[in-house]
Amino acid sequence: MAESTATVVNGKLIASRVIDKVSSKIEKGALNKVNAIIIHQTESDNVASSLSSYSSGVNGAHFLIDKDGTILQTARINQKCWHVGNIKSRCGELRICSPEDLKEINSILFKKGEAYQVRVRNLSQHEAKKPYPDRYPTNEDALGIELVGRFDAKSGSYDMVTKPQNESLVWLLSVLESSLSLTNDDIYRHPQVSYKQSSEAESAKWR
Amino acid sequence: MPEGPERRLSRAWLVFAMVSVAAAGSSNGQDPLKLGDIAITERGADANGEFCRDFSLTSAQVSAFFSRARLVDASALHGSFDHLPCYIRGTAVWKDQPATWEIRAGGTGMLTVKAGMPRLYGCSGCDDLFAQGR
Repeated sequence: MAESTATVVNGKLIASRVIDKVSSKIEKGALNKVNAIIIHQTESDNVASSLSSYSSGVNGAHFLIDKDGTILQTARINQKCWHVGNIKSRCGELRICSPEDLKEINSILFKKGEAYQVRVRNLSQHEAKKPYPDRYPTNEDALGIELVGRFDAKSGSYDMVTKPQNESLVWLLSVLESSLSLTNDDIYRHPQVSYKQSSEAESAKWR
Repeated sequence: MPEGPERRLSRAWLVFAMVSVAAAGSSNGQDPLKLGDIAITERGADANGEFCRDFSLTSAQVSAFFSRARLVDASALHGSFDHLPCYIRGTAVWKDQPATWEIRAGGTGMLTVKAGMPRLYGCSGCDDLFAQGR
């Protein structure tokens, strides 16, 4: 693996293997405490397409890793990005909710006459009030790493993460975990946390 | 035979009405997708889909979904919509071609003609179709 030295200056990761492509358009305000990192895939097969969508200033993540392993920093790590979406109930997914919380969660999720999208949004708002790690991470406390990879709607699957991509991901996670005092338990694939295609980032390995 | 003023006027109103209806139908900026012979063949849920297991749509609601939904790419669908575990699938005819479709409870849909790539749809104005159990 290539060199591992890196420092953080004003939210930017300074290392020879990280290219500065920070775009203020996807930065959505101060991120005061990073509790977790979420791994995504882009639904496109090249960096240019992702950078182009970032220029619209809506969704985006902090880092983008190309198929050849090139790492681009696209937002400062002391800034929030919109990359998570509605979160699931962590205690619900792990079947460890208290009886009181389970009752409330069920009243939200099974509310008759309410569109499912509204139920999911209400559940996410309910969860967001909990402290981490009782809940899944949100845009308020999570960094996002995007791996360039196309989604095939026909098979419902994403491109396999390439070997250079995975090596860069492992390196980047080790640097971020070290500088932000995180552990592997704080690293999630996007579909673990939110209602997304289950194959997203499925082939990424870092544990 | 030359048209009289009344006939020209009534034709103008007819054209105006047709344009208005078309414009209302394409309020999402795209031509509304019109499906024929809609049949529902399957209802189901992926893992942890208990909360939406009662998800159900009529053929008329399926038609309404596709006429209101926007054709989007995978990135836009992923960024703007939740991929909920419950789905309804079926068949239809689109532009004289047999097609299969899927709608998920989060307002996402797919339409596939023959062995082609699925066309992806998202509808942010379809909550009324997805409010189940009234």
